[in-house]
Amino acid sequence: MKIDPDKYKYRGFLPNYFIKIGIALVILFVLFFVSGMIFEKSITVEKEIIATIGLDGVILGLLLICISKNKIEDEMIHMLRLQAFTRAFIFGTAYVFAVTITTLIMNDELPLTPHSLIIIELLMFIFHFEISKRKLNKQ
Amino acid sequence: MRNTIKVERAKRDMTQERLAGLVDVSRQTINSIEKNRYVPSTVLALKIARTFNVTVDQIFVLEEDD
Repeated sequence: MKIDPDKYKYRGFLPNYFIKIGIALVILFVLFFVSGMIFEKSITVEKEIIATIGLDGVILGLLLICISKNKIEDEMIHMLRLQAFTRAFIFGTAYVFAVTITTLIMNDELPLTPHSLIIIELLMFIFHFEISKRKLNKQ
Repeated sequence: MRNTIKVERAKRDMTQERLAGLVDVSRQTINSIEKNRYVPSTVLALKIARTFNVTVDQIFVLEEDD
């Protein structure tokens, strides 16, 4: 029996097709970022501005992937999503501590930017969520 | 908590996919409930019971360690 995904009204999440938009945005802004770094000398815009715009775009794309509904968004998927968010948040916190400790030990300032932290958290969420879903599908 | 969903399905010759469609969840969710990997919400438990035309406690049974 075919299941109508529109029946599941989980508020605050975007329709499933936003995953594809998110992936497209990530690819587009990664290319923008990389090309900006490669052709740095031939363009007049500052390298930092290109990097910031590129990373902002990647974050936006990853966020769209994270907050888009699954094809069948039911209560168990919602639970998996919550678990993945929790793990990603814990990982992000551990990352901050790791950077601080490394900085103290090595006496060398490592970059801890908001961009890097958010990208790591979003990637960890996607990783955990997809792994959980694959485990379910293998059952 | 154990459940008798698999037995109830077998009695009615119903697939996991069919039951999932009737209670508006995915097949994987039904499979996880049957294997005691996931405890459904009250709403879903009531929906499953209604589908089989039995009461919730006829399907979901508490165990000693619950």
